[in-house]
Amino acid sequence: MATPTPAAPSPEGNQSPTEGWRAAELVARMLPADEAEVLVQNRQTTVFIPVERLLQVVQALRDDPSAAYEMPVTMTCSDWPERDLRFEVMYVLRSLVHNDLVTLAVRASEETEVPSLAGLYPGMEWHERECFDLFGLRIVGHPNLTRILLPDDWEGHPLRKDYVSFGEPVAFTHNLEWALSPQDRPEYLPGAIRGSVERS
Amino acid sequence: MAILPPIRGDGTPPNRVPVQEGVPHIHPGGQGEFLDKIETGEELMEINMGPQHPSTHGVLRLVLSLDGEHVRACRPDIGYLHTGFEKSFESHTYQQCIPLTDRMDYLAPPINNFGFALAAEKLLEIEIPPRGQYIRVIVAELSRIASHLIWLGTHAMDIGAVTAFMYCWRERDKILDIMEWISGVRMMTSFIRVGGLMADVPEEFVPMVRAFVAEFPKRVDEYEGLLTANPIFRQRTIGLGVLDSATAISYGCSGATLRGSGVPYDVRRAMPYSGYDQFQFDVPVGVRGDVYDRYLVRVREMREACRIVEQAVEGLPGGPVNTSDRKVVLPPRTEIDNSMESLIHHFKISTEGFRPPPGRVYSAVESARGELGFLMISDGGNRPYRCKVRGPSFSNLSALSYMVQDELMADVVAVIGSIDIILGDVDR
Repeated sequence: MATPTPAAPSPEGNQSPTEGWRAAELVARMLPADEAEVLVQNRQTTVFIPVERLLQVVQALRDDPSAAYEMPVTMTCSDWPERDLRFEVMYVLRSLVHNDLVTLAVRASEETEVPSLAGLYPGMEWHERECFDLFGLRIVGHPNLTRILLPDDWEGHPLRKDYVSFGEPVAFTHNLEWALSPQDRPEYLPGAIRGSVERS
Repeated sequence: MAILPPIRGDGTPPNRVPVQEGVPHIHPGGQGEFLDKIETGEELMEINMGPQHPSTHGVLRLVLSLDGEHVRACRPDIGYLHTGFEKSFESHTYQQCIPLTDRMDYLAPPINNFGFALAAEKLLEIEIPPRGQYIRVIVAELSRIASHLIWLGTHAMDIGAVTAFMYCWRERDKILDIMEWISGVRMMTSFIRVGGLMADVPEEFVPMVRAFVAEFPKRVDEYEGLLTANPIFRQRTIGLGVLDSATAISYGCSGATLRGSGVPYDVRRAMPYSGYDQFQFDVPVGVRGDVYDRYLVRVREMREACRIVEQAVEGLPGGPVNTSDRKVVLPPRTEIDNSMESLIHHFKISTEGFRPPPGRVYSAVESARGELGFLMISDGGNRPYRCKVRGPSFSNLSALSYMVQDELMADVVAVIGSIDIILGDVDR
């Protein structure tokens, strides 16, 4: 599934080059060969790097004029619970100068501390909060790591695959015993005798 | 006639606590977390704007720290419209996801369908015929115009020019009539599907679009006559909410918010999809990056979208609109009667959908608000394993705090209007 070398642009120019080859080249120069993994799919490049190299690589991708990925497009995560490192954290970066796009990916577990990129790209701040909110990713060095989409008192992280999103109990008058814990049950219902939960 | 409460001897109404020297003024309801409070040390007042404020264009809540009338800090609080689309995608087949995408950016639903369909088609490695591509472009550009019309009307109304709102609604209704004619629904059309379109367009479509295109530039002149040279509008918008190009890029802004700052980045031009490279159109950019420039860019964009529609209608090719891949799109009815294979395909698609090969793709389209991206991961099943939606409004809104820094509180409304957020797109 992995392609060992990045696909360089063909000098004949009869086919458009693979997106993100600049990033693959730069990462190949920076990191030893066994640390980076380049995956080309659908003419797009995904570069897997170790999480401890993330800040260093992203800074180079942003500042090196041969790459110049200055725009944070998005950051997201996918959950593969059967793996040891269950999260694949993906950063999509765009270079406006070279009109290029790359996906940078790191693998992380629930305990892995993923460094925040908010210092390099202010636009990443909200995306990281979203990943923290929906996946429970541990992001360190973030200026304001709070839930962004869900309420602050929400339990769990819904986009994890082991989060069950269906079958949540809905309270109706006929199933209060099943749907609500005893302390949540109302003392009386409209139309019912005060003090009794069941309709007579 | 309303009965006014009696006024005290010193002229203050009775329900107001008289201000005493040396005692910090506490609002009667000031025990709450974000209710008005004056911090005596810093003299900053924290107030809530929204989520029910009419000019936040949905349910956006801003916590503003005010120093007198000036905004010293702005903290957007989003998520009131979070619907969990990304989780829902994982439990629906690809074709079932299309109606969900309608509800994200609800002012330009066909563009969301478009983005999702393109991403899925990249995973499937299929292309749709030219007629389908052209009709997609026409529908997307018409809905871009419709979305910009709502933006123009509400933005002008936020600033105080109410007339433009009525005019814009009139033009938008004509676009919705066209949408209704081709899909049966005015807003949530689900017209663009994976592998093609819901159906080919009826024969009245081309005359309707031609009539609209012939008339529309004159209507834009009308709106511009109301606003562009209007001294009140210019005073309210020029020099306000300035976003320089480097900051805009670092926040990941896109669309007119980025182009207003002078960066000519348009997905239709940078990564042409669905035949956009065959059309002549300009990418308007601003100079100062203020609210007025973003207004000018969007108005120009309406004219350019109209140009694209005109070219696409004139060059509309014949032929099928759907891909011929029978594993993705239902076979025609007549074929089912004659071919056993078609019957099987029909059954398989109807019961379980199609299965793209495992892989990942990031595919972007230029929505009315900017770069709408879909990062789709397939594990070989008939549902997306993960589908991340990169809503353009989300990134654009994250730059709001920067833009309203040290501006007047009344101008926050104008800045919000100028970045044209849709909360369905922010919260998803």
